[in-house]
Amino acid sequence: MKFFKSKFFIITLIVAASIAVVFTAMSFLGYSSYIKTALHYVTVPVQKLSDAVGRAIDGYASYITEFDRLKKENEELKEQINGMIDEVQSAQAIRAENDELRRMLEVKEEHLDYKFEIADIVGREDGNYMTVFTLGRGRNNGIDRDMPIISSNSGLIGRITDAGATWSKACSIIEMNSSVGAYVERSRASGIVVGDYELELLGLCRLSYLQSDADVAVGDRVLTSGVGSVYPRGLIIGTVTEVKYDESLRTKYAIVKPYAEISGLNSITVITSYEKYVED
Amino acid sequence: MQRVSFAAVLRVILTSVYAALSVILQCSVFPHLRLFGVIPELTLCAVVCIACCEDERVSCIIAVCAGFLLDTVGGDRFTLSPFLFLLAAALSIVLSRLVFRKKILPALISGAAALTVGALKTAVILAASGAAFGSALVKTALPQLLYGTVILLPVFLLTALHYRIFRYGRESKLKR
Repeated sequence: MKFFKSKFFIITLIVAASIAVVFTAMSFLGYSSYIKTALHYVTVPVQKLSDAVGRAIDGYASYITEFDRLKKENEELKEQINGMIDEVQSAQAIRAENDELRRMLEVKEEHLDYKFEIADIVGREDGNYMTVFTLGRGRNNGIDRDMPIISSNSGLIGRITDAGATWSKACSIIEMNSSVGAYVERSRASGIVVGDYELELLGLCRLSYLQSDADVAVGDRVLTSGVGSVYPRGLIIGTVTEVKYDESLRTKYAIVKPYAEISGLNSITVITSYEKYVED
Repeated sequence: MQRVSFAAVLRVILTSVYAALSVILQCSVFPHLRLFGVIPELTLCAVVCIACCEDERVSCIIAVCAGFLLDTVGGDRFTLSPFLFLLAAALSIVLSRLVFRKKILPALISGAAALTVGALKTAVILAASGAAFGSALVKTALPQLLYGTVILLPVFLLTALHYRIFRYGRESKLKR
């Protein structure tokens, strides 16, 4: 076919191959290209709109698939709430909001050196091997690359991976490429919390590189150690749900359930500034 | 200089919008419509179907642009889609111009081939990131291929309808 021998096709092929090589290499070297940044300015507003559509569809889809369960649950709930009045319901809602704000205040009081920026999640690009959150705030709000992000209950979610003027992208700690310096609160046993493909599907992560005699038990809380340049010390990563022994490496490792509810997030808190931890 | 009709320009513009829309849908709406825990390659299906019906040059440009847009909007660290989409479009062009007369078979065959390569790409990237290749293949790549195949036919019908409208408009104009 003549078309495939034409200059046009050969040039297009070279351009496509060049884009693949150059942009992939730039991404791995940590440079966010200007073209990609410019494209985000155009696509983020469209994404906001279509994500809202997606959420609406999601709501209807779950309504259809879980109809029977919801119906049964609804009947049970009707029995339970029989006698309850509207004021009580609204009071509960206010209390829940109050609790959340109080938790945020506790975090602020506990870590006076922290500066926060709350950002809404405007897009969730769930790839088949990576999940990236798009946040509606960026450099104009003091958010920049490698800043830690936490949930309202002060559980660690992950970090900012990319930032533009009005948007930023974030990845969670359960992603495969993630690693966070951590220690067990009770015994001070230290290790590294890493993402794992199998566990990511279950919303879990792994506390690796523990000493073979490390004192770790189910229910222990795992906190950030502050080692490295991204996460401050003392943020809650999660709780240990299982402890295992790696025969080949002769080390212990633990399965950790993140404290933050990563899958159902609508907004997150970015720690824009904190005092670095210095080891004694 | 060759004269380009208004209808042809409009068709190319609408086709580009159609491809861009598939990217936006794949990145925002389809994550809420996961099957077997994966998102289908909607844009790849659209690119393949467009290549069956559209002019070769336009198809190639749309394939590269759609691939680039997808990787950018999706926040993917790899930008391999422009190249893979171009190859998928080229395969679709070859099958639809040289091998088959009807457009549906080349669209389905090249679509299935492209989806298989896309699924393998996912498995390889997962394996390179530390997952067991077999597990990545069974739990992610295979469902991705299946889901993509399921939506391939509806996407083709939608694309065919899109071009049918233009052809119908041109034929009725000629009759008049």
